[in-house]
Amino acid sequence: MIAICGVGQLVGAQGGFERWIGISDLAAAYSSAAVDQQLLIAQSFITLLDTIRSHFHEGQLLQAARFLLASWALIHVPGFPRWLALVVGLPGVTSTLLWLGNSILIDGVPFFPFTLAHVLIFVLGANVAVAVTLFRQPQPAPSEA
Amino acid sequence: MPDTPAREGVVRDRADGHDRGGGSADSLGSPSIRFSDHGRMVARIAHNEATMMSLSASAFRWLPVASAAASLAIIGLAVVGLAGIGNQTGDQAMGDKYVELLQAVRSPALHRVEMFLVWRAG
Repeated sequence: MIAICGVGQLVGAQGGFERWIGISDLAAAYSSAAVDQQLLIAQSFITLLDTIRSHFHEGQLLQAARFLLASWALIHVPGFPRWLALVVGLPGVTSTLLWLGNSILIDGVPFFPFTLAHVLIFVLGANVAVAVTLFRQPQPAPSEA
Repeated sequence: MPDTPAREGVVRDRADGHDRGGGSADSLGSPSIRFSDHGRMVARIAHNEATMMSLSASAFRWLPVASAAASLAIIGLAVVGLAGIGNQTGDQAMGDKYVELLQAVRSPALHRVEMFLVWRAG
């Protein structure tokens, strides 16, 4: 299930790729275009942005599922620190809230501060916690069972 | 007690009653075999657990590396996005929806780096 979520999240990664290449190319065209062409490019930008957002929405949901499933799986791994498994689950909760906030509760309203907190506190915190804890533990916990 | 219990295709764990995928003795090597009170082979638990642990150990070797790479991407994203590109009053000239386009026009190289990191961190 985690692998399926990971593969499904490629849809979200595709949104990131479109944002990386597509918006950069539109910006390059915009800066060298005449005023009437700039309006057309700006319209294309909005269309592209909507496409990217829909990819990110799906990626967000699958990211939430992936973190929550990973947390659930890690809790059941003998010897794996339970607190660390719960920390891995936190971004799943915030990702779910973000998905709900952006797509159902307040559709279209940007949720930037919460997104920032989700990425910089919960996702980064979980990754740092996993990296530091497992790097400091030469023998992986599961092999101790 | 049967002589060649390892030839059974599916084995049943007595403890939980669930079917577990089994296989021939050739494919499974020579794991320890347990038998139920009735003389049936119940599971190749030791071998299956060893295989799972081996897979887990392999996955767990890469987990801190992947986490460290994701951490660096997120930190880089924050540095480039907040400190490098930042927000300027001119970015709002066409309204909130077009901020990213004007940021990309203003700092094309940094925007490409930021978007690469978004893609990588995602």
